[in-house]
Amino acid sequence: MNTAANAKVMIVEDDAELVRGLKRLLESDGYEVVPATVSLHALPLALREQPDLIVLDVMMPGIDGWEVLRRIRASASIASTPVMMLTAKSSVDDRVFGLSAGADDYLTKPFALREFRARIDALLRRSRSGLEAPGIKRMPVTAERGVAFVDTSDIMYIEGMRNHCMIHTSEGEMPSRMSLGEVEMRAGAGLMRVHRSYIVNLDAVRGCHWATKSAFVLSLKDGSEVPVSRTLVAEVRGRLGLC
Amino acid sequence: MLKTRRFALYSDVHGNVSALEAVYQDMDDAGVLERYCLGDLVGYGADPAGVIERVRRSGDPVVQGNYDRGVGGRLGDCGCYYATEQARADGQASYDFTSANIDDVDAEWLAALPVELRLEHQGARVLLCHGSPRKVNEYLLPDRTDSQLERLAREASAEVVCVGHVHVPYHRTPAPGIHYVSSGSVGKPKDGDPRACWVELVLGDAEVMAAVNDSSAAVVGATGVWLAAIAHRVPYAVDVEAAAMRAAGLPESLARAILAG
Repeated sequence: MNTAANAKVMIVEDDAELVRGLKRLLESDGYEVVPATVSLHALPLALREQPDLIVLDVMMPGIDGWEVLRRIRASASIASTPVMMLTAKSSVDDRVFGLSAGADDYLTKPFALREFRARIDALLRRSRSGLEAPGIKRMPVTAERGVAFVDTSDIMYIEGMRNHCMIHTSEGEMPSRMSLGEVEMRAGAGLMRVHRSYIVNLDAVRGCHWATKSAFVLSLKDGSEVPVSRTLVAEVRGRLGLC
Repeated sequence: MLKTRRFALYSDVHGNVSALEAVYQDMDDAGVLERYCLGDLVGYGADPAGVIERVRRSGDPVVQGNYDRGVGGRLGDCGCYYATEQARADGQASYDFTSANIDDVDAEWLAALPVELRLEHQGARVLLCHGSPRKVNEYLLPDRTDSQLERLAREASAEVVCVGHVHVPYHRTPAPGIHYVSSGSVGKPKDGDPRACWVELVLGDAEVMAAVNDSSAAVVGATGVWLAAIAHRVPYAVDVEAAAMRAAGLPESLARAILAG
């Protein structure tokens, strides 16, 4: 997870002037901003960019903010991304509907930039503390009907693909919508990033050797082998109790 | 006293990242923050994905160009008009290169762009589109008659029509109160000047117009608002960009075209 200072915030809002204002404000605070001024752009962009937080306008031409929110919540790799809804409506009913539909926060237009900024900070703080504490015990994987979960203890290693990852277990391999970075961010102590493209379950390591003078390789209990980045060899050996 | 509003139009970047970056810098220097992109981000140039990335990150509203529609929808061609067989072959090579060099997320992004945007400033109605108010790939070249342009604007319920696509910047008033502004081209000008082009629009009162050097400045519709347009030309390393096109394997004629302007 990024720290608040360099977190990535996606703004989905058709009012270009508001996008410009919010973008300037957040960038001056050190945030990275991903703007989307067309609601249809929101989902594919969010899936690729994996923002830490999404600011979502309700009233937009084409598909509205509620529909975008529904699609976000239905997409495994961004389903838990905090979402703040922006709306011109201010009745209690609307707020309740918004929060029950899966929004994490709700801001009524017009709002003060100070309040916007404070709420962004608070949401990020909240989601960060939620994620960093325990470490996930189960990995979500894509299943025939929605999502299935694999116990992390069954995992041999996880291989990073372009924007998802492949979970290798003794039973076979399964795709997950999470990116390798996300897994690493949420991983508990047993899972370790050993390479740009691999995370290994340290409990599954049964041996290690130098395949060549510069290539350090881990052998896992199912017979598979995983390379270790040169820069991480010392750290991996340390975690395995070798030095 | 009317409020003055300045905004920038830019279009037809056509995969040319160096020209786009020079234009963004020039707009920053000119202090114009409100910006609209009139389409055709990709095609012909060496880095279509790089242009999409930068325009997307800018947060500027974008209308869809014919090339964006062709590539975004994976339609097989860009809907462009080519005068000769050779131009058609080079055009197809460009389309294939562009399509192969943007991923599905970028293609979806292009495909979902709106075909027009509308602005309103103190009663003045502004339409932003790529080709013409009725067609994404219609060329409103400078030789169009006043009466044609006036009719198109009235049918579109706009007093100010802003277009890209022709790659030649102009500001003309085909009828009293009716304005047409062409944004020229960032990455592939066709008016003999290879420098990147963007156009600044100034909406304000008659007094403000006195300070703007535009002989076509005039009142908009029945409002008291005046409109002036200023074409900005920005030098950039066009030879480096042409070399990048050659290195990418794009047809020689396309590299020569950006060098000549």
